[in-house]
Amino acid sequence: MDPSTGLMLAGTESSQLPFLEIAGLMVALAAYVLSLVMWTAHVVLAKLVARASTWTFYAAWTFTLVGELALVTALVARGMQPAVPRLPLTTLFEITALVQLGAAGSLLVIMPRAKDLRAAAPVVMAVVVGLWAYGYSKHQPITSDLVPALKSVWLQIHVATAVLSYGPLFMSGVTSIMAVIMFWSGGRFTEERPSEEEGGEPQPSIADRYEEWTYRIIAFGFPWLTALIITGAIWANYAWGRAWGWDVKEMWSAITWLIYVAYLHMRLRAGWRGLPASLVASAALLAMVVTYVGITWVVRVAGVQSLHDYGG
Amino acid sequence: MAEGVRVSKESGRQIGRDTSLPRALWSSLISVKFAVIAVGLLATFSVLGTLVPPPPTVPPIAVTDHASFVECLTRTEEAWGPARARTYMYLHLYDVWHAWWYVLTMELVLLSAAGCTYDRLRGAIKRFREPRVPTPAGSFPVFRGSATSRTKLSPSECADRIERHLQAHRYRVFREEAKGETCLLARKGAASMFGPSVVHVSLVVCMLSALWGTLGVFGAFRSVMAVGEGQFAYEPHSDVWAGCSRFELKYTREPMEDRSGVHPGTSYSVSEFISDITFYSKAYGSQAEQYVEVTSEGALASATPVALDESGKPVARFGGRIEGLRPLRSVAIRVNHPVRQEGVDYYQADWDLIGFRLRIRTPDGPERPYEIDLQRMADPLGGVRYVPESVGISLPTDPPSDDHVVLVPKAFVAVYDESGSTFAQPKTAPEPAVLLARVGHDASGKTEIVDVGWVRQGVTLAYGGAEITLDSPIYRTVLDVRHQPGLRLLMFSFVTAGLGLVLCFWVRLREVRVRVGAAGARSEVLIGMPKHYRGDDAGRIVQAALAALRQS
Repeated sequence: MDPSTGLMLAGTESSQLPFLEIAGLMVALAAYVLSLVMWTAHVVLAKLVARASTWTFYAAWTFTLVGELALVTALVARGMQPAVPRLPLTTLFEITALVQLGAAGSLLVIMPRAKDLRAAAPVVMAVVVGLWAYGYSKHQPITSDLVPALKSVWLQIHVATAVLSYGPLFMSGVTSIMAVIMFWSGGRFTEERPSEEEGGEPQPSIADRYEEWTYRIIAFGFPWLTALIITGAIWANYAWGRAWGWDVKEMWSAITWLIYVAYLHMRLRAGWRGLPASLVASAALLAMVVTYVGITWVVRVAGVQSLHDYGG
Repeated sequence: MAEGVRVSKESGRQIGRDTSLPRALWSSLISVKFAVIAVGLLATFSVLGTLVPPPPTVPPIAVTDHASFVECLTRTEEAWGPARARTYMYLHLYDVWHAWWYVLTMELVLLSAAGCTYDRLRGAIKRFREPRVPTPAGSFPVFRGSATSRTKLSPSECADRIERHLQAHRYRVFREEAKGETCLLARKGAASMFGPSVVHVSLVVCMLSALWGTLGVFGAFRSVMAVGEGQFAYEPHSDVWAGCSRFELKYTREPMEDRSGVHPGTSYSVSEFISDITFYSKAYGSQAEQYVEVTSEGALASATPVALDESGKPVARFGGRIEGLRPLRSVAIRVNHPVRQEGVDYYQADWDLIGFRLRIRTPDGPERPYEIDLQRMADPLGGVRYVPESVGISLPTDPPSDDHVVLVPKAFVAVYDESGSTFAQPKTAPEPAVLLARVGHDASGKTEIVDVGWVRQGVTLAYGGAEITLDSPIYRTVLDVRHQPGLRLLMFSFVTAGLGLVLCFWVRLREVRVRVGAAGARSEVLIGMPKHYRGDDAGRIVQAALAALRQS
């Protein structure tokens, strides 16, 4: 604070924190790339060398964890840099980093329980690396100024629900797209697998397993997506005096939610499984991506204004 | 069952023949197909709504009545041609979210949710209170973790042992015996059966509360209160006056490399803005000047720059007072921190720069304040420029004479720059300065205006024996004023939705079905979990129950 003018001065801190932030980002990238290589090796070796497959699984999982920890370190270092430390939850770079955390974190949780999904892991990690590159292209030094509307405890709650919903739902999108490809390609992906026990019930096909896991992950992420919209509405009511303002971002989050609602009704009540359910889940992923990064495009195409375009 | 009769999947009750129109409508309404179609339509229309451009009218027209509709149509036809413009206007695409077809789609979703709530809740209550315990033997092969076991124990002893085991693991066990066979239904997490109903109820309540909150007939309203520092405004719905004693802007100043900001090399951003507001009761006996303009269409562009003087007459100056007001309470209103007074919520929304204060001390008199208006004008280079009102400030001459020196404010800048440049500025003045000029006459008698110098905050300008200082700028705060009777209902629906989703997706309904019967000299036990259970531990649960049979 400048005592003569009462103005808050920012960007005057001199410390190792910017170095730590960049170093954390680079370590995260290296770990994610190694993780991608290991997950790929795990998939390739799965049918060849069982022992090597196990080894690569643990290596891939560990590299993913290291990447997560490095990214968290980078974000903490970033948040400590301004004169008034703040949580890095606002810019597109920061949100992208958080989505990376959520997506790779989902992998950490799900993969030990779902060995059938091993082919999805390299795809998810490839997209996480892509997200890292996209986020880094938007990277700017952190500043202490925040739009007054962002100075709220609801920011933390809202973003936390975003990570908990977008991470798993992103992974469910990947598994649904892979399921669609498997259903379309037919053949060995859609054949029922014989049971390990003689005379036992045939096991679902690999495509069905992907479709089933898509549902399971959505069943975890959908309540958080709802919480994301609800916390956003409560926050908007405090900040702008209305819970719903028909803003482009709000509408696309509602569209994403509606598609998931349709998916759940179709799958749970109407019994739609397989390709149709996977297609709807893939459409939901597309809507989620538009909500996440496509609002700038929508605003430009439609020539409308959005209260949410400060994130860039 | 007679052909054409439809049965609810949830409650199992007959819901009618398709030949009866009301029954057919009802069964369609509560069907999943209808729900999915309605939700899909709403999603599709929402996508369309976000991609439709606003009407090509400059300045934008708020279509509130027939006249504004016709004006908007005319201008849109000029820009887009008749066919496209008429399609656009008659389909209400200039405001998709309030178009009849969009509202109708939302109402369809609401109807579907309400119908499903009724149907599902009945079914869930029935299944919860009177579960169907008997399980056909043919169902077990498709159950999850399904297993068959034969034992020397009697059927009743088998059933007892399994029942005790499941009860020990907190299952609620239902038992029925018929034709020498014993059937058990053990259930845990039965609350999850109500999850879908609770979510549907929350959706219905949410939509109803939104409807309630937007309809003025229920007392909902929104308005804008623009009140300058030292002024008062009247809010007629709650019969409350609000006076702004101070408006504070907090800035963050950061260096800028591209030097294109308000001030070369420096950027100022507003980090906080706070209104110190005092609420007053009605001014009895005074003629209230209504400053707040209420509209159902949202924000107004301006407010009345009027205050009342001590006699109650409106004056176009700052620092007005109203006699007879009784202060109720003083509050600071910030973004994210609205204040409720008499059931009406006040939100910090915006602000504007409306003037500044000069203080002039002369050798022979006391310090005198001057309040000078600022006019907001478009800057030809972009942005806005605030131009001071051309008010003459009379100063005594030095040495004293009957003539007076007249100064006028010539320019106002948000941030003083040594070069004297004036930049297009935002509606803030973090380091304000005023350029004063002297109005005089040259040798030929013509009027001439000569710059005297800049007056800055904290830097006194001495001129002709007078000391001139600049006080802080004067701001006008803009508050959103809202009464939302449906808000509490909306919050209730949010809580309900959260509870319902937890019940739906995170509370697992575990059902174990058992059928015990005699098979020759032995007992045969069929056990399994219905297919709706998705946990990976079905086999483990079943095997643990069977293990109870082998315990002595």
